[in-house]
Amino acid sequence: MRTYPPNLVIGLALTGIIVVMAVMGVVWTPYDPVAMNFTARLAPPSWSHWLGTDEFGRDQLSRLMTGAAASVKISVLTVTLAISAGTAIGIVSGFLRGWSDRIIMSLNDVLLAFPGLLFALGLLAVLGANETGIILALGLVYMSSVVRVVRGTVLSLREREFVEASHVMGNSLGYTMRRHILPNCIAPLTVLATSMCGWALLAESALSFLGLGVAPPAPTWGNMLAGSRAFLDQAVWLVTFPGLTISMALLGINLLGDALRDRLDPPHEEARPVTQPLLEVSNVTLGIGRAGPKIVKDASLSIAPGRSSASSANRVRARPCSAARSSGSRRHPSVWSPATSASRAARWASSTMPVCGQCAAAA
Amino acid sequence: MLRFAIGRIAMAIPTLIMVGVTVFILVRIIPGDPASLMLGDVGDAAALAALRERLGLDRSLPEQFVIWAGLLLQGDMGTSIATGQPVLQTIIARFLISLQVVVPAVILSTLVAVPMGMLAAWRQNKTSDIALVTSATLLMSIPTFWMGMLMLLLFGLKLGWLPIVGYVSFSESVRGAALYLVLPIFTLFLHEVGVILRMARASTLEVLGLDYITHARAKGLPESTVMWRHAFRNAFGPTWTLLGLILGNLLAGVAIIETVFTIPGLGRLLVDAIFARDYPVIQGCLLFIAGIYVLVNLVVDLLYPIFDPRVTAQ
Repeated sequence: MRTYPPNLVIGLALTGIIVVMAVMGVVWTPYDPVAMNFTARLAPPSWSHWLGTDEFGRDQLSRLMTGAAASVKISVLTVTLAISAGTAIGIVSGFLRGWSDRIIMSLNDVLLAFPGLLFALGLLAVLGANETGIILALGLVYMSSVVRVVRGTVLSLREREFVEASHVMGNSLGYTMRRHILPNCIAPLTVLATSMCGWALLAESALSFLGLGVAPPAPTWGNMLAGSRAFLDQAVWLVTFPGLTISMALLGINLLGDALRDRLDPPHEEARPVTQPLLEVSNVTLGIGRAGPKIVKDASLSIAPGRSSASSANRVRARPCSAARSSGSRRHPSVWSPATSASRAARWASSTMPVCGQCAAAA
Repeated sequence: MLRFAIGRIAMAIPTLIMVGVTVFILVRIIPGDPASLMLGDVGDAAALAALRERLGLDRSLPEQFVIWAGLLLQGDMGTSIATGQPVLQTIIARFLISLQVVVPAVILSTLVAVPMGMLAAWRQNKTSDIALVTSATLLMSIPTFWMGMLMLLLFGLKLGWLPIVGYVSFSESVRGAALYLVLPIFTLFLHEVGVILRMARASTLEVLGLDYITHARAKGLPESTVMWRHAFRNAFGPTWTLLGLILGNLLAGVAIIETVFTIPGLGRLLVDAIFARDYPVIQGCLLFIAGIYVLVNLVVDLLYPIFDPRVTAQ
């Protein structure tokens, strides 16, 4: 049975819970999320209000579900704006090069010269602190990262044979970009978009917490947490559940992002690449004593081209003489300074068996 | 090295100019008269005319920028609409408060997270590695505003070990100031430890895969020497760059932690200015933080050759 990496499974599960919560927040909630009920003010979690109520008697679960819908909507729209605009600009910039590329990248670098949240705050001061303002501000801030990633990918793709072939076949620039370049940008964009969902969710919550997001009484996770500050000592549930939901969502997205990166961008994680064995030994025959079978016969060694000899020496080190180990002796060093590659390889071959180089030579 | 430093400084100057242009344009695209925005609703006609004259609002936009930049270079960022105080002085006073939170948090988290990240890389896929990476991912996923509130709840309200919210300056009481800063610093520390640990682990893993490390091991060097003498310097380069970005981002995002702990820092000044539509302060804060961000990254780049001298040769 095929097994999936734990970060993918947990990430999908957590993200799935948040998405289901958001969808349910749109279609059905146990109570009206903004309806006040002063007879149930600051009620702790109970059967009638699973997650308790706030200072106005509003059901916390209903508000969390509606807040999930608002947060997910803002995140998805922000990422959609950033990805669509950033991809179009990045492809044009990377594919056309020249002056257009220089101008676009200079403007993009200006965006990158600001800390993301600072630029978003600046834009919110201009656009107004509301839902549309947040989407536009965060979308513009994240777009700069998309432009960089897409342009980098396009620069490496535009020299490939299949792009040249498309030119030779007489395809237009637009067709080549759409049909051949864009599909190859999808893998890095998927990884980036997943991470950006997390950034957007966190930034939206932070801005709402600061009072610069969706205005109350409409609930978002950030403004629910901000509202709970005054009741920290009276109603712990008001602090616990919104924070837990944000953390769960971020953890899910982070794990999912890691899993996607491992799958779609493998060189990032392959820190110790072993694509080709440094030294291959085959057809080894060994024996003990002159009268006995041969120690080594038909041994075939092949060293990977261009690899350092130190690597094979390290493999020798990893296999100390088992006879010496069992006797507790330190007379058979497991590391030595080989003189030539050939002798080193031969020694490595002998060291793979339970005798050290010196024992093999004596035999 | 000198050539590298001059080149890098020369690259930072246009960036600073572009940052200035962007902030200038940002305030100019707000609908309405910039002079009215700068003076607020209470500005009288004479004051408006004087400010228009001073900012050169009857001239072309490039000329206005030159006048504005000239005033800026003289340290004139205008006066706050809300308080009537000079903007630059207010910003510097608040900036020094924010630094007391941000800098210790970054230093502490680096001191803890880098060795831990290297340990995780050294023990790749072992239990300790998995435990460290999982903890780092969990810490990264907890927003600082929630973490701060949990800290307040636990150490302030339940245990009563530390004061809950507020700020005392070091000139008033060193002990009091330190006590008030413990929780905000610890909150930021916990968050940044996660971020830095993952970066340190990733960059160490990359270095551990290189041939010179294999060679060092093949020479029979102890693992501690391999890790600290050979792997650390190369592995720390990317983390060092990240630290510059973290420091800049924290200065921009410190408003969140300042809101939780009611600290009158630079971030809170900016957010309050946005609420009050105090445009001179908004403009000043944007310029100041973005300028500091560029300068911090410049310093990070200039010190980078300590960890990787190859960059000076490129």
